[in-house]
Amino acid sequence: MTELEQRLAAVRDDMAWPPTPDIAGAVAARIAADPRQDRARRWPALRLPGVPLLRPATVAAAAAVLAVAIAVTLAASPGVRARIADWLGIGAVRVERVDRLPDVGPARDLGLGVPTTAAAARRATGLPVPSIGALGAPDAVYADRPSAGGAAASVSVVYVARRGLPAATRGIGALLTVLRGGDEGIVKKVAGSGTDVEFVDVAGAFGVFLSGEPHVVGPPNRLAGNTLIWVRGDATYRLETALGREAALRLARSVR
Amino acid sequence: MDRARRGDPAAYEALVRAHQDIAFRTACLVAGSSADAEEAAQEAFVKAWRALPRFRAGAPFRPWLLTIVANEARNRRRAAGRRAGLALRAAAERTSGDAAPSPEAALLAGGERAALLAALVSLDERDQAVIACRYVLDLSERETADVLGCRPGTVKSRLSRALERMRARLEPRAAEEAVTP
Repeated sequence: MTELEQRLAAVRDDMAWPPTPDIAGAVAARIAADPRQDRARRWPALRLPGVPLLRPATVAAAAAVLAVAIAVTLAASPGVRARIADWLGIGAVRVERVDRLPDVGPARDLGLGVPTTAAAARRATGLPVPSIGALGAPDAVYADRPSAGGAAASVSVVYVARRGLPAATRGIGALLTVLRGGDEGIVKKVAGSGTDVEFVDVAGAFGVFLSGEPHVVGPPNRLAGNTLIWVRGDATYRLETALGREAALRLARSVR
Repeated sequence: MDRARRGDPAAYEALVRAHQDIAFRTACLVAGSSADAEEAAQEAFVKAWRALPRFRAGAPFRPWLLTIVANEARNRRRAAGRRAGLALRAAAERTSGDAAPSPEAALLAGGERAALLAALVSLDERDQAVIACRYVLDLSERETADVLGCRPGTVKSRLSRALERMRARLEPRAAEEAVTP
């Protein structure tokens, strides 16, 4: 190494770089939220006492056969089709009460749009990018632009499950989505009789808390757990966690 | 690394944490914007995760990762219509609260360090990039070639010319200092 090269190596620490963001947290959240992983990962090998190791392909095949069998059985049963008993609209969300939930297969994805940064999400959608003050900065940000097909703009922030924040779905501890406008029906929730729907107050804003048995949310349709919905200004907020009402309200009150 | 290859997300998160600085800085250098660099580095780590089962056991992770990072960063730079990568900047003067400088850095007097940094940041973007990869980011010749999208032989010749230009900028100052009483 020449003298100049040695001197250059010596000023390595004197260069100014933008601070490194928490990429590891964002990547962990995306891996948890993104089902498009290698097939080898999607179906881990399963070992049962006294049973030879089931290879991933075997487990996948068995699950596929089971899913088809359930779907065929449901389709052939009279009265299985969901019947709307009543509904309520809150901001951009329409909650429908049905006797029986429609059949939903495993969700291909959570329908959050594309992973991006907070600044890019704001630019693309014109929506505020929220964060849950009690949890700090989100681990990942997703944006969904409005589409010609009628899908509305939304911004979602993801927090990976951690101590005190149990996983609600796919390793996600809290999923907060903001939708523009008050056009009910942009997001549809279908709740069966086992799902409780309560009216709540979120820091002075009208809200609804869904808990108990999972409900169906879409598009794309998937099962969702405890969810708090409220309206602030011209934006509708939807917070999905595995937490109870009071804990979810505490998080909602800290949303900035 | 083996646990991450077998699909352990916690092990992979630790691997990302260990490499996020070098990945982000490399992406900054290529993309020319920290927002694009963040997206590029994030996307590269997710792609690497998906491809890990096909990654040869025992092969070094960093060169492979940096190739993906640089590709993602280049794509974003092209999409943004940006011609240049990130221009290097010297950090503000060290304050007493900073961590102690490295032993090599301690050997350089303040004035000499400032002159060196001024010469480096005055070079054009192409020269800065190759010098930054080799000496600021401490990448190998092979890694530098992957990041800059050229052959290792080209790195050698480009680096040699960049160092020459840098010497030429430092010499007038050295001569000035020699005649100053």
